[in-house]
Amino acid sequence: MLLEIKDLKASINGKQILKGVNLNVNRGEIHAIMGPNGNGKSTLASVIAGKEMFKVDGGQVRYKDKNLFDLNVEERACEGIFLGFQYPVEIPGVSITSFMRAAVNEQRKYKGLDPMDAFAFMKYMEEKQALVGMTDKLANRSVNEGFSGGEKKKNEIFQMAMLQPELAILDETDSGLDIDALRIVAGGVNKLANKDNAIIVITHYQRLLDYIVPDFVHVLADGKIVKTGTKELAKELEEKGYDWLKDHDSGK
Amino acid sequence: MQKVKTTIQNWVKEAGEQVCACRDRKQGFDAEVNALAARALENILALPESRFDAAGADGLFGEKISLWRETGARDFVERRRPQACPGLPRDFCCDIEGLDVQQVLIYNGCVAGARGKNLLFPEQTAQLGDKPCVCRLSDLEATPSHRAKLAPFFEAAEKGLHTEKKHVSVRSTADFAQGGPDIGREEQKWLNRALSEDTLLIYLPEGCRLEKPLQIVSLNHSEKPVFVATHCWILLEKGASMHLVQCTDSHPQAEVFAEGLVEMRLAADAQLEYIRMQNVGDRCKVFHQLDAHLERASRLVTHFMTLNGGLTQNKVEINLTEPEARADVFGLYLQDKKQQVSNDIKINHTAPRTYSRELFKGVLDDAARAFFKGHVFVHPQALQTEAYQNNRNLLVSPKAQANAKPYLEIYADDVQCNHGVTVGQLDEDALFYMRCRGIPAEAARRLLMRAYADEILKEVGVEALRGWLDSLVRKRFNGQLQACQDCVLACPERTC
Amino acid sequence: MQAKSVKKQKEQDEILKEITRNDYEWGFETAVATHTLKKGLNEDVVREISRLKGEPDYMLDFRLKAFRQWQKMKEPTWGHFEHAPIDFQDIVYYAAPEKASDNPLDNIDPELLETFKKLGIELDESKELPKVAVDAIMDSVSVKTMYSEELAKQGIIFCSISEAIKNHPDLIRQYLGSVVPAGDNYYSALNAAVFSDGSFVYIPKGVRCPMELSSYFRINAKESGQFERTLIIADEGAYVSYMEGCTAPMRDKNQLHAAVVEIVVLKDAEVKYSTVQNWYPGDKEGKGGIYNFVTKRGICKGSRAKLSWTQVETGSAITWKYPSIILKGDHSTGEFYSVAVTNHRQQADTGTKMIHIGQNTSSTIVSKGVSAGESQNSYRGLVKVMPNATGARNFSRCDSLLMGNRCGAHTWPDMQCQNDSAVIEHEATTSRISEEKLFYCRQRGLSEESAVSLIVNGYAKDVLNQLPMEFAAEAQKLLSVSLEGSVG
Repeated sequence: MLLEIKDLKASINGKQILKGVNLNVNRGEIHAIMGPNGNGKSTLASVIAGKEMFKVDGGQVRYKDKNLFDLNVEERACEGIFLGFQYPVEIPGVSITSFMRAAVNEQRKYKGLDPMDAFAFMKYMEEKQALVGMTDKLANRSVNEGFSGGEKKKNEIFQMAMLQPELAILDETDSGLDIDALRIVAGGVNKLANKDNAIIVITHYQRLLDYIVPDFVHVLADGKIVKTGTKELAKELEEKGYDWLKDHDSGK
Repeated sequence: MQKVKTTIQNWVKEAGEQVCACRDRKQGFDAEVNALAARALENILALPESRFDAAGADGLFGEKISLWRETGARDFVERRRPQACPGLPRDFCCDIEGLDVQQVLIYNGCVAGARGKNLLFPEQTAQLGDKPCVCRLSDLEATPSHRAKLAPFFEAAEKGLHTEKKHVSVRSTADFAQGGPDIGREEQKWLNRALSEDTLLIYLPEGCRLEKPLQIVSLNHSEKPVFVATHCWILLEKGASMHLVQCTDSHPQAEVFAEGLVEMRLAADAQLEYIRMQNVGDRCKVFHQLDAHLERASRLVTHFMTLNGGLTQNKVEINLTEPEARADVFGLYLQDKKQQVSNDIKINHTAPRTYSRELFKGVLDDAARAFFKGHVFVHPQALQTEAYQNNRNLLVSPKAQANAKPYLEIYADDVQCNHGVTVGQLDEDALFYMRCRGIPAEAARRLLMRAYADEILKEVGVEALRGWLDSLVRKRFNGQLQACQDCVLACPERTC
Repeated sequence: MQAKSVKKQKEQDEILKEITRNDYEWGFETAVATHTLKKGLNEDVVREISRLKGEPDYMLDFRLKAFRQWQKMKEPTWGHFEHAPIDFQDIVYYAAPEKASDNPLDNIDPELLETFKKLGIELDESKELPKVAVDAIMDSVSVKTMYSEELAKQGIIFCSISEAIKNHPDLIRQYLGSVVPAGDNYYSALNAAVFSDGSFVYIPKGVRCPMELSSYFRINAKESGQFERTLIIADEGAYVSYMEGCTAPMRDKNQLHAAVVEIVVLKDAEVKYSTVQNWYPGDKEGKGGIYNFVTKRGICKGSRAKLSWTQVETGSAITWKYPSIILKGDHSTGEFYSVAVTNHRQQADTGTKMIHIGQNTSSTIVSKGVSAGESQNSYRGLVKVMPNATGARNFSRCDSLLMGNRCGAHTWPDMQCQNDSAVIEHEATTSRISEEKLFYCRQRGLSEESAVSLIVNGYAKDVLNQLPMEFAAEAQKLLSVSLEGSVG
């Protein structure tokens, strides 16, 4: 199993957000996590990536048979965890090229590989740029600085292509995208998905799932996964909304 | 230079005699006040001669606008203290249309109103109890409860008298972050403590929200050159709130040197909007100090409106001593002829999550000169401080000058601080655009200047006050304003 | 979670260890025979320096006059830094490697060549690939000036200032002390009295200097101060790019460096002056290190003259330095780009002065400060627009970045505008390195150290971009090294 989350509890500033999340993810799977805003979806992603402002209060997360909490943020990244940010951060003065070169080579170093030379790197980058339909012009600009919402998200997918993660968590990658941008982003993700990696798509709306077809759909509400199903569940949620689940839940 | 010291000494003596003549009671806080005054005078007399030297670089009370350098030491010694109390206008009221306020009059430094009474409710005795109170300090009984309430003011004054100039050549890094009382500011306070005759006290009890704004009118009038010192303490207890307008006005021809000190303390959750209107004749000089201590989650909004005056200095020190305290300091100065204005704002952030914002804007015409010095100090403990400092100047005439020193001194890393300064002209493109639409150049210019001033005016919390200030600013731009036209002094026939 | 914080602590210890190991890699000492004067300063010492250098009388007069002025002056105390009083009688004012001479390479002590090689400075002209002419200065004297002959073919004079005093007295008499008069300040007076060497550059009318000129300063001798003096003159329409680098061995005692740089830019000429200052900063407790009290000033004398200062300041225990520009010629341009990084107990008080005198003059100031450890980092700047400087323009941007809660970052700007058609804009921000950015980089696999280095380099980019290619890479590396151990 690639990722195994058991009874995960986490809080921020003393406020409990995750109240016992259970989730298993295998290689080759695409999972979608849905749910109303403010119920812990992004927190879950941040906790897996290792954001320090969240406090883990209990539970276990095993990733590639290691205790995830023994690894710091960059070690997790080097172990193949990629977080696609909901709000990608702007880093003035740092071009995407040098940013990615630093990241790729750090990750290679972690794996005991020699750094890529400049020529090989440029070639590699061009290849991946083509994959997500990113232009040269964008690559020479500072990371996310002055990017439109769509450009930022495209940049996230490009970075995912560059770093070839084993577990990619895409946090609300669809938010703020028009339909064309959505198609391009989803197309990139589909090209990157394979039998050796797993993807967790966090989304508020069902529409992304028209383009990225999940194997499993989970509903995260009030800090727990309250329902798990197939892609049909997403359709059902689209029609009935989340309240239906709440009633259903409390009715139990 | 000995003359300056002698002059100050003589004034103090005169003041003592006058107090005896005009006051009928000997109780209260006289002992404390007199001790402070005596010690302050001693301190001044002990200052090195160079500090009184008009030509020297070491001039007292300010960097660019030193009390002596810009006014001239001779100007100072040739002044007299006014015989204020006898000349007090009996039935004064400053009638501002559409503005419903409580009013207190200070005439040439002398507070008008019945002795021993609360000036807000003349039928009541002056006391700091469960009612708001405005009174002279000399009208207050020295009861233990009064003593306790005023203790922080006395302590701060006492501490200020013991401030010594730090040895500058060798300092430790820890010293850097100390901040502490600024010797230059303290020295100017000494002058006030030695020379002010009485203290006007403004007090709001816990939870008291004064609905009507309070207006303090400081009238200055004398055909001969005089020196007037006023002193004011403002104490807002927990959760109290009020709007305070303090106008310093003069007859257009008056030759008054007005020195004033306002010390205020805002307890937790207290809120004060403080508007300082300076609108005096071209031959008047105004040196004003404000010293504020803000406790937890209290909020101070100040507006320094310098509409007219030969020489105006505002020296402000705001101490944000407890978390979530917040200060907004706004200023607008409209200067022409050979007027000079200086705003020197120090903000000490010594507690976490404190906030300050400064915005000073000015229009400088003719040969007017403006100085802005902002100093934001952030103590190592003041994490998550936010401080914003802005100074904008419009130069509209070839001889106008603007100077700015926006300082940031920061010892904590989790902060957001920025400052900005601009010196420039009206937007030529906008002027051209307006003229193409048929607006004459002068009118277009005035419109743009008013829009420029609007950014400050719109921050005034009370609508009626805002309207009044707006009309004054408009008049100022139209060249109609010399001194406040609503004032009895400017239009003697309109005695109300 | 407990385990995690222990781990984090461990990591920090590791990082710290790493730093202790390789702190200042330029801290070695060279064993060369050195001729030094006795400690102390008096008129005889000034005379002796002049005699040792075989100077003409006018120079001795210049020095003595400066010395007498200095004796009457007081050390400036307005800087935002602290140090124990400097004992000016406890300093060696002249130290020269014995074998040094300006003749062919063979005459130079091989130890010296080796020293400069270690510092990455190749003094062998046959080996240097991208052509950079270097004037290498060890302690008080110039060891070797490269390519002098080749440059001379175009009329360019590039030599040590001692040679210029002998060989080009007219230029020296006209310009030495014309931009920074001896009595300008305490340290410039001291420098004028005791300066021992430095570089001299003259670019004749209309000549574009074909290569980067460079001087490399090295303090080696114990207890000696370094007082070099540089004079650059760009005649009408000339262009030159000049680079300055510096290092010193690690020593427990503070050493004084009080240099003066004067630049004269005539009509239509352009000078670009870049500095990478990496004097020994002292150890983590603030012991030792160079006191860097430097006066740098240039004048744009003629119309359309342009002068640009770029500095990367990472070294020195104390930096007190304000490269300034007097914009006298109409339409002249001044630029100041600075990155100042302080760590541990370093203290930097640096900035610029832009004096607008001519019409339509423009100046740009970009200053980026980074403070870490327990350091103090100040920007201090003056922009002054004189009454006749119609159409003057200034833009200043001064940012500070704080790392950790024991350091200080300060901004002390001063703007004086006396002309109503001038436009002055000043912006500054102070903040810490953003957690969001760090997390983002680390999520992509960068270690905390490399994330910081990357972000800081990005932050300083506007300034680094101004550096000549040869310097840029070195500067980037220096920034990272200087900040090692500052995270956590």
